[in-house]
Amino acid sequence: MIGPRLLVRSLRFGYRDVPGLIVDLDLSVAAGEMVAVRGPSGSGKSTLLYLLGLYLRPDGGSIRLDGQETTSLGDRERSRLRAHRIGFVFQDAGLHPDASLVDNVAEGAFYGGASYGAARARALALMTRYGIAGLAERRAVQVSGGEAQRAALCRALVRDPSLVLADEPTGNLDPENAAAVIEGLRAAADDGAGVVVATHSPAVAEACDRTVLLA
Amino acid sequence: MSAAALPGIRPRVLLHIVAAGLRGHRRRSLVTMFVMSLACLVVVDTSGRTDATRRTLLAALEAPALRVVRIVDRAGSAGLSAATVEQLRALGSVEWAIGLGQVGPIGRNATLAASRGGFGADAVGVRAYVGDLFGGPLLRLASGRRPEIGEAVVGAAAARALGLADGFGTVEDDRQAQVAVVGVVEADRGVEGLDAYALVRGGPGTAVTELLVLLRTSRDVEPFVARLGDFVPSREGPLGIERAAELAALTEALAADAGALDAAVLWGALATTAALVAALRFGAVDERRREFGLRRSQGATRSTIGAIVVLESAILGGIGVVLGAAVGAALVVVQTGLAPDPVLLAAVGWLLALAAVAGSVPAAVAAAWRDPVEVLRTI
Repeated sequence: MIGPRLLVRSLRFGYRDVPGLIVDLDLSVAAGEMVAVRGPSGSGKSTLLYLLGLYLRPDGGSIRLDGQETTSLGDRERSRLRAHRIGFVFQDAGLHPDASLVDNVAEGAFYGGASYGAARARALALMTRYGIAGLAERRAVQVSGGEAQRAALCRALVRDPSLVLADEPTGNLDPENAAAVIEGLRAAADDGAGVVVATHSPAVAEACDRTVLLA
Repeated sequence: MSAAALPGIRPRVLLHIVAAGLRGHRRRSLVTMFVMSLACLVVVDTSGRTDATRRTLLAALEAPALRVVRIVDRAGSAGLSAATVEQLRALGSVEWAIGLGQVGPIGRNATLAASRGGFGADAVGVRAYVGDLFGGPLLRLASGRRPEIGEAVVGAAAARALGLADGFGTVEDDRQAQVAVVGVVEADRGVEGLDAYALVRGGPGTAVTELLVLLRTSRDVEPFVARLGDFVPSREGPLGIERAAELAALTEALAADAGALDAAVLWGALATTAALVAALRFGAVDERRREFGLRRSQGATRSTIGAIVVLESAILGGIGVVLGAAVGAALVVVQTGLAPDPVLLAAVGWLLALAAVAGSVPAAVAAAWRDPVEVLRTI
């Protein structure tokens, strides 16, 4: 039997000026499952994603990714896990503005050991799937916000991740592009990833399998 | 697979990222390269000119006249002989040596003396010598041939005094003993005193009261003088020793001073270069906070980020050093007519490139340790 992609137990975290932001949080995300994280501003949605994305170290508790405990890992190992198993989609696409769209997408595979050619080939395949292959050689600053966000989604998926984290991925998008991004996240879940989306949007939450509320 | 065993970025991909970073920040890249070129140019030009001047001066100080040691046995009691000359010539530091006898009887042109009915013609000193008169760079046969034992050559001044323009004739002393003169010798600086004599080639038993020794380098002079006692059979009488010792000291001082100047220029340039590169790279890293944060968010390790910054600096430093060294070397050639020492060029280039890399390390560390969350929150 395959265990959950992500298993969080008794997670605790606080900033120096905001202690106890997350207290004893439990969360399990199965392969193919898409979970929405909702809550008011300042409730710790983004912070939770940074913890799950291994950018922050929790004050206590456990985060298991594909069964592997991550809280005791060093920075190098956590970076490696990010490079291989975690895709992250930001509210703003977060692309390198002067790099081509295809190089931005391919970067998602660079740090996991892919060759330059292989990463670009996989990037182009994903960009074709998400309708932006025609923009491959355009610089990131030359495409629309929706196209950039689709490229960011491709970048998150190019490494074939176990876990996809999305922080308000549709916050800056028109409904058409927002729908495309949600479809993309759903497709990633259908391909076997666990997906966690921090969102204020009821429409996005509705598209998810379930919702976790942060107070 | 455990996290530690997961593969990281490939070197060629890293180079792609570095190249993209350099292209994407052309202005800063060009400024860094320009600073490196300028630093290298200044060091190569300064060191190259200093080195050329030093080489010219050292060459001047190595002139044969400044490497001659003259040893005079005024009392005639030191036991110097043809054998002493041979001993000295066998030394590795000795380029040439001859022995001279005492200034003998005054010699006159026998033909002129006869035509004038007695000793009315100009007279020169006659000295016996042992050793190869023409085996060194100081004496040249201007006309005639090399003398056999018992024959003489005369210095140019002596030839004029004697009226022997072609160098052939006969010299007779006040006891009317005659010596055949077979050539004229030209004496350079250092042994110019021989110009006024008729020099008679002596045999193995010739008594020697003066030695003229040419050392191979000016630095050989003092050690030779210090060892001289080993070759003097009798140490009872005082020996007069004349040499350009102060010039040898000057040679040492010049070499040391020039070396110290080179080192000061080089260390100053290295420190300045490292500081400038550090400032430029810190600026670049600060400008690219978002980029590095994004790379970290995509899985770049700290060492990958650090390597990007250091490699960029190494490439810019390398190109800057090559350009600066080329222009600097060309300037040295134009200014001095001498090409800079290639070893000096290579050493300066390597050290400056290393300074550039060293200067970029603090910026690389700062980039690598920047908290990615700080950047992610601003995306």
